[in-house]
Amino acid sequence: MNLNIRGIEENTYDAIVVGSGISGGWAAKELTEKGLKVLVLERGRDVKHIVDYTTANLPPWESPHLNRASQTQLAQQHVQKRTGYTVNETHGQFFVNDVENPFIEKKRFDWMRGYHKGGRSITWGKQSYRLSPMDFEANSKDGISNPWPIRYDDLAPWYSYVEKFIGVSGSKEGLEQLPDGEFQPPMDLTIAEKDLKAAVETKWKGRKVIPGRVAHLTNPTDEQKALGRSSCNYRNLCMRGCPFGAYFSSQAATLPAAERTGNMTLRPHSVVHSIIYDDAKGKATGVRVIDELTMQPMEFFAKVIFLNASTVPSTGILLNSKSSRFPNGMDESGALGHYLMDHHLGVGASGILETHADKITYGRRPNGFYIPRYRNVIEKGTTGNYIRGFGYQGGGSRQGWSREIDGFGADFKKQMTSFGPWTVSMGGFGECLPYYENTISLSPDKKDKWGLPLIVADAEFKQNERNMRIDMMNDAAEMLDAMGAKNINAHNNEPWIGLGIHEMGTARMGDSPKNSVLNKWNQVWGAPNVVCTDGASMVSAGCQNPSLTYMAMTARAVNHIVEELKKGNL
Amino acid sequence: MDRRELVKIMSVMVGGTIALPESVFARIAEPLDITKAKFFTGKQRKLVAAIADCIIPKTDTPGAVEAGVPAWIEILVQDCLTPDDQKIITDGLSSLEADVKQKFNSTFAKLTVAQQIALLTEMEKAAKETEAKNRAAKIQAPRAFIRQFKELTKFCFVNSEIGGTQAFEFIITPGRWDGAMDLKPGQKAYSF
Repeated sequence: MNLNIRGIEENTYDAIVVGSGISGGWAAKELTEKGLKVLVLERGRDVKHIVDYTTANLPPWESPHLNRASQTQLAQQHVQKRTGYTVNETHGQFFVNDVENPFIEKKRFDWMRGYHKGGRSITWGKQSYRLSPMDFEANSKDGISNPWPIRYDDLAPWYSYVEKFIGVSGSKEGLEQLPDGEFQPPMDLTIAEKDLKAAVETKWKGRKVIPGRVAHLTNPTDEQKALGRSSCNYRNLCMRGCPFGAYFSSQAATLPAAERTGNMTLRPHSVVHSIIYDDAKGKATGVRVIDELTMQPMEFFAKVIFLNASTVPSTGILLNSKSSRFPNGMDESGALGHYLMDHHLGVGASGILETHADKITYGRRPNGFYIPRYRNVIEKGTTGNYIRGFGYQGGGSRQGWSREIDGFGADFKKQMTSFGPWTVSMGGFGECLPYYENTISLSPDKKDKWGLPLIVADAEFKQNERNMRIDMMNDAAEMLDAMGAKNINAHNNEPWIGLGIHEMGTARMGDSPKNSVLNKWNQVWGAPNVVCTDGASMVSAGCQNPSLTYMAMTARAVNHIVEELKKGNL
Repeated sequence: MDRRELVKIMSVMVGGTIALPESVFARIAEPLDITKAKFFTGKQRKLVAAIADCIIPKTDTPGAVEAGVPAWIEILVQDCLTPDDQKIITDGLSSLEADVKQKFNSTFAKLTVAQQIALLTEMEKAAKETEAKNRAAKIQAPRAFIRQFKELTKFCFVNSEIGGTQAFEFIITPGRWDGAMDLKPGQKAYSF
């Protein structure tokens, strides 16, 4: 072995964070603010806040195809295009090139990825909901999969902590299934949405229609202003990057907070290959990295390693980290790579209103309404005895030019350039159960250009989700009918795993190394200085958008790890 | 709207607290470079312009031709459509002209506006009936020429600078949100 002591010193930090997205940015902020020297490894290119949002103010006629993807772009992003909205000329650059980043689909897996600084924090939907006490108890109560090793009370103070920093706009509702948080003023419902709220809350006791809880500033704090962030300007061009820093992203919030401590080194183009494990010490010593551009292999060392590469890549790194202690990757329970979850969507309804022809909206609200879960909370599910439940996201606005209008000529033009009727639509986000056979694994023989084994996805939604979807479709139609909507159109599309862009599980937490990969502080069993706090750690999915939970979990884990370091326990 | 105007609006919005770098206003392409359109023949180009002009004519606001829509259609057909859809467009153009020749012994461009509208309306009606039948029988079929061409014309008009800002209201940075504002008489819909 060629030991270069000087090289090791130069490449040694207190902590390494793998990934700079939603959870990695949080790990970087918390660790650096507690005084640790931190190396953040980002596999893709740098994206500088504001400076690199080159399309942020582009009107459609200034992009080559009026912001529509060309066949060339679609071929390069043949998986990313499956959502129908991710690939275009103004934000397609924040989704990966699928030709350069292949993976294997044993079953269809609509894997949306952002390999650049900030990751998917630039393009996320920003809906920010807490899990509830019943979500953390669900697996125990139902006797399925594995219990969560923590309860809501363990995470509640950390939810508050991250909400205050990121800024969440929302309303307090006092619901047990959707705990309130630290909110900035909510974004008002439209007049049509208020009609829906009144109709639904009158007809079904306990169902609620509330403003979406969204990580946008509506009344920034001094702390947020000091980071250069300002209020939302209602452009709804968020996925291009926000020049106002109005929504939470790593670029706008956590990375500048880490940067100003002087304790962060961020290295782009750093593809993490695996974790270096020392059998004698019983812990990790560093990570192996391939430079994305030069292909140069490198090693970096630290006392603590935070794995925040996003669900599938974090599990991929753990699987690829083989040592004599861990010949099959960093897990002894057999759970690593199993229990992949996502929220299932593409089911709901829309309808037309004949009222409020004299009202329109002004501005483009990057948000809508939310209907918190009620099935198997206050009303039992009606179709096929399914467990768990779903929430809805939706919106009520006036139709515009894109509606279907018959005819040609001056009459057609007059209609097209006038407002259409109000329309209300909603789509469900359903909980997916953790199934052992829904897996992520590494290809035994195929590798990408950096020499990393290709990810193999083999997962699908099952009967519990399919039963739930019938209620999801019918309930949506019934609620629209209750408000007097016409031409109600209900849909239940084939759900593909990945489309929710809420991949969760595959390195779950638990109370024993026999049944889980991570302990209750997100530390890898058998490698206590390796900590994974992204979606991989999830034990069940809830039906709420999960990013807020990753942030809270990350801040909580950092706090614990730094205490352990101080005590000399790591 | 020119870029200086945008910069001004953005600066007002942030109250001058954030210096916005020039790159945020960078163009990724010059608008509508007609030399990039190499898909249609000269004859097809004239027919495309005539149909687009019939779909969205000049009224008190500019129409499709004034907004440069024919060239945008050509660029989008060339670069954004699949080969199958490209063929639907070119076949559709040929068969429309053949139909006009047979019925009127003329060309589409030379018909009266009323004749043009009647012809396209008939095509749209037939296409929608076929779509309804296919839906009922759960048959997946590509959208007919007239349906695709009208969508393209609409899309290119709304997203063109002249169409989007003169026939519609274009606001890139609204600055505030109102979920129930009074509609003013004659107010134009938003293009963006």
